[in-house]
Amino acid sequence: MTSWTVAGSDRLTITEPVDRVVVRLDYARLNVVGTEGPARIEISRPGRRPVLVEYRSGTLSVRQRGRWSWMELVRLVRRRVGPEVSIGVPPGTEVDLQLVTGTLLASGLTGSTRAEITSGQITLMGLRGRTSVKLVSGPVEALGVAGDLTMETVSGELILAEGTAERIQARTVSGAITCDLDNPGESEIDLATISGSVTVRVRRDSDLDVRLHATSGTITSDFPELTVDGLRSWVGKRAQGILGTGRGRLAVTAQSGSITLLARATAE
Amino acid sequence: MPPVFGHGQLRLYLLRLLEDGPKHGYELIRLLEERFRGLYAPSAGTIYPRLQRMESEGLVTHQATGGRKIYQITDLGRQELRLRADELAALESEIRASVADLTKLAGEIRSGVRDSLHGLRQELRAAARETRRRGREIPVGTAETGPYGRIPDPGWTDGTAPAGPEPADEFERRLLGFVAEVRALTRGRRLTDGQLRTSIRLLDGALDGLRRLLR
Repeated sequence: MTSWTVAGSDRLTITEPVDRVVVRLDYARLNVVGTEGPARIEISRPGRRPVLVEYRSGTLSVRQRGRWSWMELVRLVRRRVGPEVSIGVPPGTEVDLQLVTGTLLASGLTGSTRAEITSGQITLMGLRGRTSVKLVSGPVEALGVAGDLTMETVSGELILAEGTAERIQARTVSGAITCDLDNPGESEIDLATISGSVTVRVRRDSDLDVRLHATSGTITSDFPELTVDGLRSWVGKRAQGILGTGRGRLAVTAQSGSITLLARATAE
Repeated sequence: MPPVFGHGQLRLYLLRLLEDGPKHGYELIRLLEERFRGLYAPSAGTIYPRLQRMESEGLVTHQATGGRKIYQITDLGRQELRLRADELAALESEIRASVADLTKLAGEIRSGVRDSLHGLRQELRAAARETRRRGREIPVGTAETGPYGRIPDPGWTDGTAPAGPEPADEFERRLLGFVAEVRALTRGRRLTDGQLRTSIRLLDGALDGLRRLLR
């Protein structure tokens, strides 16, 4: 086992192969990026609590040592304290991240990525593998995510652009869900919100079995293939239909929010 | 700014890739992905409109073979590449430098994602407005709104951007939809006195306008 204690700003390069990264921090700005070459860590502004980096048989772990001082707790509430930790690892690395408060960026990873934050923000960019992110409060912003994507938050917006994931699961209690999907294939898409609204855009030539259910909100659709039943407002409204061959599945539920299903023009 | 291209940079890079030989759209996407190792994730929806615009400007041409468009650089395109050679070299060294500085790279990715999503939100909001304007919305609770029962909704029966429903029907539908939507907005929520007062003033204002128009 090799370990480093970083008290000031520092850069480390891990010469041995890394196939797993585990991060447990209270408050941080955390960036994990898939890059070529050896694993690297950049730490800036660690404050009075040193950051502890450990390497043991393929696993790189990052933690913080010590306890919070009173002043740090006050600044924590105002979100003004905490290190910025940037980690560059080979794209296929398995990544497991937990923050109490903070912002997270994960980009260019192709393996399994798991992240949990109590309050803060998650940004995902160009991920290809299995991705699962959870927040209690705060938004998830994702761009160009493929593979398998799960996003959950209690209060916060979930937004996905240029999504080509085969499986998408997005759940929020009080936030809005916005998805722009560019994958006509056999996708499994499941979006649910209690009081937010849902806006989904899928390709005009999608092959999807669509089921939309809004309890008290409105449903708006660009697709004439969908038919409506249950205009009785006490059971809510349902719109469903088959687009193309209907190989994939799109299910959307919203309790008090509205659902908008848009068609994305296909250039090719 | 490499991870998400700035305006004009993607097009420069597409020209650069086509300089090596003709390619179809998916090939270009794959090459961009390889080049940026997943830091930039272009989709067909980003690439094709750019290629189309470049074609209309005469920088590329295409040949359709087997249902696929093969793009090829034109002399004008080569000239543009030559003119912007410095910019291209700067872009490539920027890409290398930013991959070396992780923290800076992360900052750039963050702001790139934020910009893209901001654009997407606006685009989708406009698209949703357009769809609603064409009358493809099912008003909530229309069945309980009286003798009209199920209101015919042209958008759901024939989705081809309709010539527009009869104005009289459309008016009736909107009127019912208005009440239903306002009900839905207020249902189950405890509104403050201020919100209610403002809403009443808004309703009075709309009614006043209609009175003046229709009297």
